[in-house]
Amino acid sequence: MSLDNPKRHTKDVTRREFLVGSAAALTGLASIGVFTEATGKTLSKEDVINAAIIGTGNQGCFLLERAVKIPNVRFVACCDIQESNLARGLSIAKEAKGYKDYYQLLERKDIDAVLIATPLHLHARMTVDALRAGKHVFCEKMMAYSIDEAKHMIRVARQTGLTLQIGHQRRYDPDYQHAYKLISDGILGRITHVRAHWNRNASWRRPCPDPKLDELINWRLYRRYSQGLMAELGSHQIDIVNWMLQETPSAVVGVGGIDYWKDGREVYDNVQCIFEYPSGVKFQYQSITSNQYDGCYEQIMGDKGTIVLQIGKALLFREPKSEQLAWQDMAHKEKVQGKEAIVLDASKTPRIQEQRGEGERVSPGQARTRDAVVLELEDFFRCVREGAQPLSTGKTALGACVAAIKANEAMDRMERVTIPSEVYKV
Amino acid sequence: MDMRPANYCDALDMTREFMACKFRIILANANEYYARQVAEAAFEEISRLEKKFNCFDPTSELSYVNAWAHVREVIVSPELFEILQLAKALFEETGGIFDVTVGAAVNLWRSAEKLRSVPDARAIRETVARTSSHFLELDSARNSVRIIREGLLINLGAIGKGYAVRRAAQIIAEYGISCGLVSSGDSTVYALGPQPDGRPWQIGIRHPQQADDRLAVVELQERALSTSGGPRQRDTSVYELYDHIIDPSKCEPARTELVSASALTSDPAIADALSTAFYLGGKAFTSRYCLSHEEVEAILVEEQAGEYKLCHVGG
Repeated sequence: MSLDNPKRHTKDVTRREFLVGSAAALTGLASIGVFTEATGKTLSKEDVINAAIIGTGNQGCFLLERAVKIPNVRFVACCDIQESNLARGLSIAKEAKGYKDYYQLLERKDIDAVLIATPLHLHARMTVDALRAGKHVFCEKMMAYSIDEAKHMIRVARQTGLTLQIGHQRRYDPDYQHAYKLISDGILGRITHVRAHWNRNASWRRPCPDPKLDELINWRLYRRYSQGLMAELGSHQIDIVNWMLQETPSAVVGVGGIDYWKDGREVYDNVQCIFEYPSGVKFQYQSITSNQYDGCYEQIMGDKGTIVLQIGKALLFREPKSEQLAWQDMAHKEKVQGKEAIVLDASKTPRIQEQRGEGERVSPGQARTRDAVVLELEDFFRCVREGAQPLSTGKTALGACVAAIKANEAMDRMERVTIPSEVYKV
Repeated sequence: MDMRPANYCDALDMTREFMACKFRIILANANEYYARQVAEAAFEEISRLEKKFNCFDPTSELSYVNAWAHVREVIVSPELFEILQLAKALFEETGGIFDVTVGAAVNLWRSAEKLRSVPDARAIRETVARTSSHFLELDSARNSVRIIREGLLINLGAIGKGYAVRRAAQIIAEYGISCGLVSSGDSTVYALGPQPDGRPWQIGIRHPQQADDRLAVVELQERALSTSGGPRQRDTSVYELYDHIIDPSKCEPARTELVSASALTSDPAIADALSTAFYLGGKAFTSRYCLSHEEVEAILVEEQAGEYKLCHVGG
């Protein structure tokens, strides 16, 4: 079995774009705020949101397991073209109905919001169809297979007035938020360089006993469906760097290759890029699949210090000439390769959950969840109710999407690719 | 437990660290490249389970349950529901000797140990009052969990590794590999099929003092062996003062007549849980249990006048 040809989708999208444009012109922005077009109802805090998920493979189920825990959200439908994935989804959302055709799912008038976790080349098509069917959309990262598709998603969300959130969950991670606050306050001085890695020692290939199913299961390895390591791993980290710097890259150079896993894959098994930002910051990115020593982290370097961010830990290293911080003596510290690191404590930063005062309590001594994926999904459903903007919007995610695609272009062409600021405009 | 089978053959042999121990997968398959992908998929599953089951990770699914399930019903993943359901069934079957609600007691002793002291008697009494799987309500229609006693904490330390071995073995079998071994450190090992030469896999039970010596060799085929107790399992940095296994009925470190207890059965998760129950319950309980559960065998190690004595129960 193979997946649909993406070229056909692009044409479809273009045709639909025209249709969306005219529909929006006729109806105006009928669904501003918390009015849900599909059901014609306004959601209040106590109303149950009926939700659905399209794509219940590994990532879809990862989301679903977290989303079913959110109070007043009920998953009523799951969709996947693979029988085993669908069964897995239905084993998590036990009250949901299963679909193989996502159009049938979108036809249901009682569904308010849809999570999309399908292969990259399907993101735009499914997001646009869901928005046009009046559903709020949470779409997994990377946002879209192409820059045009990503912009189209933003336009349709704008026209329909519905929530569009992209799954860059690190923006919701309390440690990352804490670091963002400190960086905004100037703790690193003038930022000049960033370095990020996501290095693994594994093939990235899922076992597939039936060769006919290979493209379906290993879609990440084929260019028709995938933008490779830059999209699947890099876009998370580029998004963080864009956020911390509050700007997007203006040029990129890079080298990639299929040098270790020569197993018929079409996407690079190792990528190295340098992004240039308008402020002069250089961001060096690496993702390799044959050595995991460096692991996954982002290192932001300024003339007064360095912040190293990774899931579960954020460290601050001060430069020798930087002045003493008021709280430096009290901070928890540890030695990392002979250097003193200040452990950044996220509990000093108000959590998203607490900001919105969920009204629920936790007994003393019991840990509150800090899982960024739970936090991003909670924020999505809050935005659906309140008509608010999520932290990771289509607009913010476009920055990472453009940068990843342009990096692939630079590696393919073996040239420095400039990214004019207009590319980010929608 | 000694994972070097006596008649060890050429096979893919990979080790990764999860759940604070070394998981090892040995696969005998003609296509080594395929076997490697399958092993990667099995390790990925173990990693996924680790992130769900670790009660010391505030971002884990179990921590979410511990934080919220006494406030409201929490819908959990099929895997977490399955392991909780299995744990509760084993709680009933062992008359409460095996109990995953021992989390608060484990924390209490961990904190005391860091201060090199013992918890005060009142704190222990209070913990006993909120430690029982009776306070755990599971609804299979919705895969939901409720904790009806505030302060109860679930800790899957005595069953999670065995469950992970079970899932890894299932994945390996689903991908058509029928010959291999999966183990979680010195805790649980499962043998898929016989060895390539048709003979059962042979696993040694280590001598408690001499790491290179074996007290016994167990033959395994489509069967799991799990061991609790014994000095090799003691993490001396944290548990130098107390036995690391907490007796849920008293909420105190185990005081047992045994050096170690091993359980043999077809399901690695059950073997893992039962080895703890046998270690805590001692010889009399283990004999009773094996008598009423034909499929289960136990190997108990006792120390008598400086000598180690093996006792084989059931089978």
